[in-house]
Amino acid sequence: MKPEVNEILTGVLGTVLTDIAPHLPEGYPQGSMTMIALLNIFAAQEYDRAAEVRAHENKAMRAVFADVAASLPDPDLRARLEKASNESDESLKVSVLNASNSSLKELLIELHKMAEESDAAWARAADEMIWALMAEFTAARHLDIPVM
Amino acid sequence: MTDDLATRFAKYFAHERPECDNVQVADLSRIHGGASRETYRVQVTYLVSGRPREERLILRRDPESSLIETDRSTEVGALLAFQERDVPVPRIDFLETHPKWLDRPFFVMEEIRDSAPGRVFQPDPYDEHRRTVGEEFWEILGEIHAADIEELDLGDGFEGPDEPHLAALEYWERVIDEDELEPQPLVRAAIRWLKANPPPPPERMTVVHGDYRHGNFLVSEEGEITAILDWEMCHLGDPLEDVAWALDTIWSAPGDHPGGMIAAEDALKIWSDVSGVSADPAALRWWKIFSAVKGMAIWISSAREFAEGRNMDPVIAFSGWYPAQAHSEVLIELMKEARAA
Repeated sequence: MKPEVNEILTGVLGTVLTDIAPHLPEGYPQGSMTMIALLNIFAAQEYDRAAEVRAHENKAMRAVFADVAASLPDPDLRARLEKASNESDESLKVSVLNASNSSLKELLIELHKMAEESDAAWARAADEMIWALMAEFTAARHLDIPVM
Repeated sequence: MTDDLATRFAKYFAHERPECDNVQVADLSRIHGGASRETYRVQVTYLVSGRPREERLILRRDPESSLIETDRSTEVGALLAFQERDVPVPRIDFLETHPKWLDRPFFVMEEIRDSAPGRVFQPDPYDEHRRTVGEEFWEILGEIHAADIEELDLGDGFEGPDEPHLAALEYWERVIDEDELEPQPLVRAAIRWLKANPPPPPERMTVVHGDYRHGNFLVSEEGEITAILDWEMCHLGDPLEDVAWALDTIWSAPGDHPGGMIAAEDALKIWSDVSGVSADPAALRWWKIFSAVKGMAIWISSAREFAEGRNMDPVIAFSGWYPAQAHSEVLIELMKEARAA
C-alpha cells in the first residue's frame, strides 16, 4: 500500500500541528492534541518494525532456552523450555506474535529467577544471556521523540 | 459538560461562602495533564456587602478512574502542613468529599498567577533561569526533608513504616501484579535485585513528596519557584526516595542536568546542606532503581486504564507507552551499574 501507514501517520501531523492545534483553545484541548501528535509519531515508528521486533525477540528467547534447557536441574521447567524452544511463529500478525511473546517472557522470568538462585556455571551463563537479551530488547523498542 | 460543572461549582461556592452574593463562575476550563485528578482553572465573581470581588481558583476533582489511587485528603493534608513553612504551596480553600456537589470528591486551592511549569521535552526548559531554578528546587526539597514530622500537622493517613524501603517496594510491586498486561522480565529482575540488596535504614524519617520533579512546580517569569504541586503521593519515608525520583533522567531531555536544571553533584550538595541528610551512594543507587520500578508501575497502570477503556484521555495512552519505554532504558543502565558494583 502506498503511501505506507507510517507515512500517513507522520504526513497528517503537519496539518494537525500547524492548521488545527493553534486554533484550539489553550489548555486541555491543545495539550491533548500534542499528545495525539506524539502518539502518531510513535505509532509510525512502531508500524514499520512491530513484527520484526516481536519475531526477533521470540526467536532469541527460544535460542536461549535451547542453550540452557539441558543443564537445568528442574525437570518440569526443562521440559517446558525444550517444548518452547522447538516451537516457531506460524504467523507474523502482531497479535499472534504478542501472544507467543508473552508466553515466552513468562518462561524467561521463571528461568531467570531459577538462575539467580544457583551458583552453577549454567546459571551464571543464563543470567548473563538473559541480561543481554533484555538490553537488546529494550534498545530495539526505543522511541524517538521530537523536540516540541 | 463544563457549563454544568460551572453552575454546580457556583452553587457550592455560594453554600460555603454565605457572605457572598450573586456568585457566578465567569470561566471554568480544564488544564492539560494531571493524570491522577481532573484539574480546572476557575474564575469566580461575587459581591460582598455590595462590592464586586473576583477569585481565581484551581479545582482538583477525583476522576472516574485514576493512575494513582490516593485519597485527596493526603494531598490536602500535605499542602496544609507546609502552608507556613519555607516551602511554596498554594493556599487550600475547600476540601469536599460529598458527591452531591460535583459527583466526585474534590478540593479547591488558589491559582498561582503569572507562573508556569517548565516546558516538557525541551533541552533547556528554564532558559536563562536554569541555575537559579535548580538551586531553589533542591533547597526546597531540603526544606521538605528538614521538617520535623512530629511537629507537622499532616492529618490522618500518614504513618511511618518500620522499613520504608520495603513498604514502598511492596506497594508498587502490588500495583504491577494487579495491572500488568504483559510479563515484565526486566521489572521483575529489578524487583528481585531490590529485595536482595536492601539499602541502609534512612538517616531520618521525613515527609516524602512522592512526585518531586521537573514539571510538578511553577516558576515565575523572574525564575522564582512559586508553588510545589502534585502532592498526591506524599507519605512518610526515606528522603532519598524523593532525591532519586528528582534525579531520574526521564523527566527532561537527556543530559547531565536532571530536570534540565543543575548538575546532579551540585544538586545533592545543596539538598544535603539544607536537609541535614547525606546521600549515601549505595542507598541512592537502590532508590534510583526503585524510582524506575515505581515509574514502571505507574506507566503499567496507565496502559491498563487505556487498554480497558476506563480512561481514554490521550495523556493516559502516552503515559502507558513513551515513559514506560524510557524508564526501561534507564533501568537497563542502572542495573548494569548495580550488577558491576
